Amino acid sequence: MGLEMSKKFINNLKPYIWLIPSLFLFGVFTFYPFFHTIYKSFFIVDSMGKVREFVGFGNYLYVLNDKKFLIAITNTLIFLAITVPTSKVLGFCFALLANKKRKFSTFYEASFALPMAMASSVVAMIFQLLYVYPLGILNGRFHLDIRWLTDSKYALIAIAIVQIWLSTGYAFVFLLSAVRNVSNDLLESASIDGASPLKKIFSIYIPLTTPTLFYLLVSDLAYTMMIMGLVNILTGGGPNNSTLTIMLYIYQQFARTGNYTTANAASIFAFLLSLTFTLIAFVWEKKGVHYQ
Amino acid sequence: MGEKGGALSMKESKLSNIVVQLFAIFLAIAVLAPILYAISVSFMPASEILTKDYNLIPKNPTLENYKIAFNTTPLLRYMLNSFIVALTSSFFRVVFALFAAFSFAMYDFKGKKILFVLVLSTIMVPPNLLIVQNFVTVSKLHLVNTYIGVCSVFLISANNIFIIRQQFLTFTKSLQDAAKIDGASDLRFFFSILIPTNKAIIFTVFVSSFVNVWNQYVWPLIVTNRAEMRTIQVGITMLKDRESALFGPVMAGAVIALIPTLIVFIISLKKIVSGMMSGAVKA
Repeated sequence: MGLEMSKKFINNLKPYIWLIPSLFLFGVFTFYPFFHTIYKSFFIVDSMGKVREFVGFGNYLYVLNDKKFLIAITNTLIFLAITVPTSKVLGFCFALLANKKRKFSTFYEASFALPMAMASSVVAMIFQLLYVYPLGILNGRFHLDIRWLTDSKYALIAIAIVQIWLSTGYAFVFLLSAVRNVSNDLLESASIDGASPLKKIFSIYIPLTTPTLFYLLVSDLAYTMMIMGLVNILTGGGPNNSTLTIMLYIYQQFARTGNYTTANAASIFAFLLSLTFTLIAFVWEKKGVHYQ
Repeated sequence: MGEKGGALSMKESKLSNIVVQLFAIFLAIAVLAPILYAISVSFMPASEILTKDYNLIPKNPTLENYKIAFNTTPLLRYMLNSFIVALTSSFFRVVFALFAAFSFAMYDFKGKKILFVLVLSTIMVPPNLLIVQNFVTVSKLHLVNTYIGVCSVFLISANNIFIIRQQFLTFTKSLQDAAKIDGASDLRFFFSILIPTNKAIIFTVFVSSFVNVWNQYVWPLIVTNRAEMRTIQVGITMLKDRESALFGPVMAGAVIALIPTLIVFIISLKKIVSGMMSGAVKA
């Protein structure tokens, strides 16, 4: 009887044993830092990361009154507004263009998708060369006279172009398969009704690909909100903070000045912002997303 | 679609077929242009880069940039570091994801729903947000400038768990029951039936994870400060500072850093994509 009992006990434990490595790692590197950051955001923290004094919402008030942080939020929102929709629209256009399988499909499909496999640091170095003033190839070949990375009017746009180049391929891959899943019957009956190609795009392709578009939008919003690598390499947030993003602000707070106090509060604020966007997206999903 | 259109539109579509393809190829080359240009510059002598001629193709191709890149920085060491980090992380990611997916797909147990939601909720927390605290953790454990330190945050991915679980769910319980009747233990079922029959998805997850970790920049930058521990993505940005104009060796380094992902991409694009789709669309 006792043997039977312990055998049953072990059997009941089995599913948890398989989960130990992932739960442990999520615990240490996701849940612990997440909740600990929330906790610490209410304290003054010294440069060793040790908690000193409880200040309530003081740190939040501090960062929200920090001009640099407000600039960082504005820049990040502008950056999101430029890059997220543009890469989806471009990806969608590429997908429509590549929709029908043709002789050279493999070549251009792979080319459209390729940037998704590129490292942001490599791409940053390449675009840095393209953007050089005045002898860079972009200024030279297109007869432009733009200080891409050193003029505060253009720097954020210059980085947005790199981000769009990097993220369009990902959107394209998903949208291509969504576009190809649109049923032929629907398209044929639309053709018989005399629908123009443009009408087909707006009344068939776009509505039927909204689930994919929605997925892309939600994942890109949260991801791009935390953009830092490109900016750190290309401009370091300059000139005049015109490319300072939320994440770069946080990074500079703790890496340059050892200021964990503001870094924690700013991190939580950034999380709430990205959560808000995700929630808004989900509200929109209820109204606008068309599931077959 | 063409058959219904009749003879006239068939003819039209032949012409438009060529036009569409030419346009698509033109766009494809435009997308590839920055990469092609970087490759081209990596073979240019310094005297041809950033001149008023705006050269697109090297007039006197040279390997000088590659020599400089290899001689002035431990480029091979960076590559080795990246390989170690990407391979180790991907290996554990896949193994741990397989374990977790097996548990979620094949057992019923108390708290299963809550644990699964907990795992999925980690997707909502952007990794960059946790770097401050994770850096504190890693430095407390004295893992700064170590491979374990660099790999630590890449060892698990909720996305991978989810994709593999979806795949496992298509294996009906009856198969496991049959295995049980044959006297196979859970362990044997896992290793001798589940793993071999799901090779494709395992490969996909491994490869996409490899590309993902290989391309990481922010975490490796923060958790290493000694040159010999840098990964290639961090290393190449150190080939020059923002103001200097020595681009030749940098492009050589960039091309070298690209090669592994390009190879992986060309070999397995279709598989990676279908793997990603299966996770995303079923969600």
